[in-house]
Amino acid sequence: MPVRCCSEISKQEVQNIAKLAQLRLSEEEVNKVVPEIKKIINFFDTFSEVDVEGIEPMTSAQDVHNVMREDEPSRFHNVDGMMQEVPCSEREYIRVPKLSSNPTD
Amino acid sequence: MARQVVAFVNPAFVSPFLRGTSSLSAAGSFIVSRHIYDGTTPSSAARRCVHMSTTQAPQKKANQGRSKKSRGGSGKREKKSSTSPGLLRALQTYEPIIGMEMHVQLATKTKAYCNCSTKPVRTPNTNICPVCMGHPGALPVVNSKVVELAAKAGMALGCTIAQYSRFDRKNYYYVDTPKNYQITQDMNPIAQKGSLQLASSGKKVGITRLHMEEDSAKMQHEGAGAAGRLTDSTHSLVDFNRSGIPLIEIVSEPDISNGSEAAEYGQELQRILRYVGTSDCNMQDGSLRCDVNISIRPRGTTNFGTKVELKNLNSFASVQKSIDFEIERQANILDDGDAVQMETRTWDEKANETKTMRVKEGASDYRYFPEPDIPPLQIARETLEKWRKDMPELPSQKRERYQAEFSLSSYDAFLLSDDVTTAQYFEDSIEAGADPKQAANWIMGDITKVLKNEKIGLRLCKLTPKNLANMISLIDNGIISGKIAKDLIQELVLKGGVPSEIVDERDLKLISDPEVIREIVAKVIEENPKELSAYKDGKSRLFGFFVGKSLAASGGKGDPVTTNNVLKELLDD
Repeated sequence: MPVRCCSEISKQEVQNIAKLAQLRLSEEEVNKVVPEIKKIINFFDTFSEVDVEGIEPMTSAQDVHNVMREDEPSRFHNVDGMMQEVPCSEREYIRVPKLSSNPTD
Repeated sequence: MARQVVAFVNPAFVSPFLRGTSSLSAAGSFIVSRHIYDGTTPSSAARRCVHMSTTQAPQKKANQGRSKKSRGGSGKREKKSSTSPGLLRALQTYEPIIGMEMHVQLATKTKAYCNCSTKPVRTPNTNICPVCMGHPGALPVVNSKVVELAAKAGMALGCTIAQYSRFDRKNYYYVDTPKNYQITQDMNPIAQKGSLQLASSGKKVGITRLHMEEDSAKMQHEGAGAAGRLTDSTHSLVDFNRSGIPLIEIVSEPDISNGSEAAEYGQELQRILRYVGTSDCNMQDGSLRCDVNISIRPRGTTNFGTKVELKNLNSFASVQKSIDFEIERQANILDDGDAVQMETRTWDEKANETKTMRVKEGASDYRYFPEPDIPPLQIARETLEKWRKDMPELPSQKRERYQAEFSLSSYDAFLLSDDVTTAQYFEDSIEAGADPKQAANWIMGDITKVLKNEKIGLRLCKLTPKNLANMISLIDNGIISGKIAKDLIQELVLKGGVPSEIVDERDLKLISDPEVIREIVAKVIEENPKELSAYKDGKSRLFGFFVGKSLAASGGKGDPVTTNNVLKELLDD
């Protein structure tokens, strides 16, 4: 699969990416960031100089496989500690404010 | 090519052995004879409906819940159906393209990526740890049993199992996803390209892929008047016991053409996965979840219509009803010249309609990338072969074998192979020497009746397969009458006991000595002078009266054949 590099970083793209990362950028910040992102993407664009036809993308620096564990249950020793750190709880549930119905909002 | 099940089997018949957990138990016989949906050979009912509907205004709501007798038909028994004329008309013009997505919780002891127990507990947030809570720095480690069960499920569904497979991150923000990503398999799923065959029609539905992933936390939406719905809630309560529980997602090819096929696909999938021990597969407790993707297009065209997603389907009955409703709804929209909106809809059980849940504004960008914390899987060929050997005979194979080897009807074969316990019991009794047809009749008949009355399952039946075989041989060898066996069955099922021993102890043997019978019969005739004279006067139906009285007088032990013969002698001389 050929490596695709978008060197066409538009303002719209950047705003989309910011939204997906749940970052709110002001108009000023977006304008400042667009050329910086362009530079970073172009740097990675040097990869396209290499012919990677037929080569699988690397997933890890280690050549390790099948790191698994047995299906034996054990209780975490500090469940209470974790629940104490919860900002707002109600009857052992974790209470959160009203949610938007769209998971990606 | 494997022999197909030819006769129509109505999968709506609930197996008597599916205890209250069956999602179909309340549905009744709503599944209509398949040919009505064929589209190419309209039944006379459909033709009549086309004529009627040209004078009707297009309806916004489907006539769900109103039953119409299916007129015309194949000469098979007429079933009361809830097919509205609107639906039949829609199916004439449009071809539904339906795919199903199932999420199945795997029957492992621990979660997918951590050691927390998967056992259901009442108290929320107890089976949790930093991994399934998504705390910073926590590292996931794959549960080896998850891989085994996923691979075996793939094998049971005829898939190619990938020796190399990998986990990926699916990135999105939502309260039930504590890491802000789900560890799933996007690019290299563990299984692909399988299929399953529908029992009634033999139609093959393709399975695109099967992959491993994790479940999200459970949310309860609360607030005055919320009734559990997100839109009216003021806040939500989250329980992470479910977070990280291993799932397999099974995606079908869009080969399904109507609601009843979809329900049947779901049931066969459930049957297969229960057989191979993948999961309990209960829609009620959430171990099996079902989503539907449905679009329609004018028959004869090849472009796909706009896809609508149906969620929140809690039973196979809902699957069928919601699909039938959707087909009609979408057809009405297209008939009006409008376009179907791409959206997610939910099934409202009370109103019997699908309702908008949220409108999709284009596809979400999940920015999939390989999960760096989990090294890829490389499953050895030997391991795969070992797992393949572990596979039990599948339901479809059992159905065929029962018909071929034991000459059972397709209906009987279907019922007996519906779940593993029943099939095992049946096969064990044949091993012990029972005649298959008789064993089948006893299991599906009297034994089930007793169990159902006591609200227990076959596992608690005290009559062992061996003793069932014993009892059947006693009947076959003329040692006891069928009636005596029927009288004993309740005790045998609930308390147990060896039939031949009981027969000896209580002297229940069949009386076939004509002399003894003659004595009994003579006494009966003596005691019933009124009926005797009525019979002699010509009321020949009273013969049955005398037979019944004689058998009763013999304590049910009289051999019916001998009794009949002796009676004929004595009455007709």
